[in-house]
Amino acid sequence: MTPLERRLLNEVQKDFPLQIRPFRSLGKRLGISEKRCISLLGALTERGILRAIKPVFAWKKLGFESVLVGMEVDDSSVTAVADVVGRAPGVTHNYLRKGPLNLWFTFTCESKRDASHFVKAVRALPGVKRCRKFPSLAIYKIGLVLDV
Amino acid sequence: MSRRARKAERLLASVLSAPLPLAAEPFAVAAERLGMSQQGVVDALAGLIRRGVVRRVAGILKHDKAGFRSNAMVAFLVPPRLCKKAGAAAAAFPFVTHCYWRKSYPDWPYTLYAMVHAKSKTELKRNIASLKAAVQGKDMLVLPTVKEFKKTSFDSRASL
Repeated sequence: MTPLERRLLNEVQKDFPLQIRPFRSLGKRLGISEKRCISLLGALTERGILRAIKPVFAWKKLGFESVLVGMEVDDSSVTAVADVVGRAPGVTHNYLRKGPLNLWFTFTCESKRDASHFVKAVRALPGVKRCRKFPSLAIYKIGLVLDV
Repeated sequence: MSRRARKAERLLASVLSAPLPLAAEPFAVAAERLGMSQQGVVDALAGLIRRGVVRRVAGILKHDKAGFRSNAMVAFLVPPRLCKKAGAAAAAFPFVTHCYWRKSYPDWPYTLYAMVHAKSKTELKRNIASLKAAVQGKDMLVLPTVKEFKKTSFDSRASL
């Protein structure tokens, strides 16, 4: 990445202008044209560095439920289980981790009951030894801002 | 909030939660879909931010592609009454992107969770050490990221 690309990524993560032509203001901050700003962001997207520019919703405020689930799965089954879990549209994050619980996913859905149903179904998959819900009791940071 | 109002808000959310097109007027698509002016969309977003329904409008990185190749979820045993203070201390680190107090169990006593990102294994170790010193948990469990199977954003369209 060039220094300009890094500055652009740091800016776009923090303070995206809420205006009809946001890329003009964003470009101005960096001393580049709107057109150049858009093409640089397009290239960063194509390279897979920038996932998207979008509003980040607090889904719970709209009545959705969200829960983190940690599972203990046999090494030989973990890819198959991750595959089944990942196919559910409500699963937004799904990670293999080193530790006593090795497969972790987040599930967003309509209600606590839906979440419990899903966890029950997942717990019954072959190779799953433990499956626990870790709902959040307080949020201290959802920053996502990384200093590139 | 009435059912109808909630439904209308969810419809708005499902349109607005799509990635913005990289075009001079990125809100034009949503404006057309919602039958609003572009300024109307911008104002609606500002309203949602004020009410905390939208956390922010921002670029989201693929952290591994952006150079953050070493990542871990770190869970601390912090007594509930100290979680707020410890959470604030953890949140202050720029390398911590997410921090939550979560439900614990008798056989899983961890309460405070932080996502830690770094550009190398050495840096990750250093970050975790700084975090540990600031949080002062009674116990700590490091769960390094081995593989990302899925990372996406919630799509509420299925629930409309």
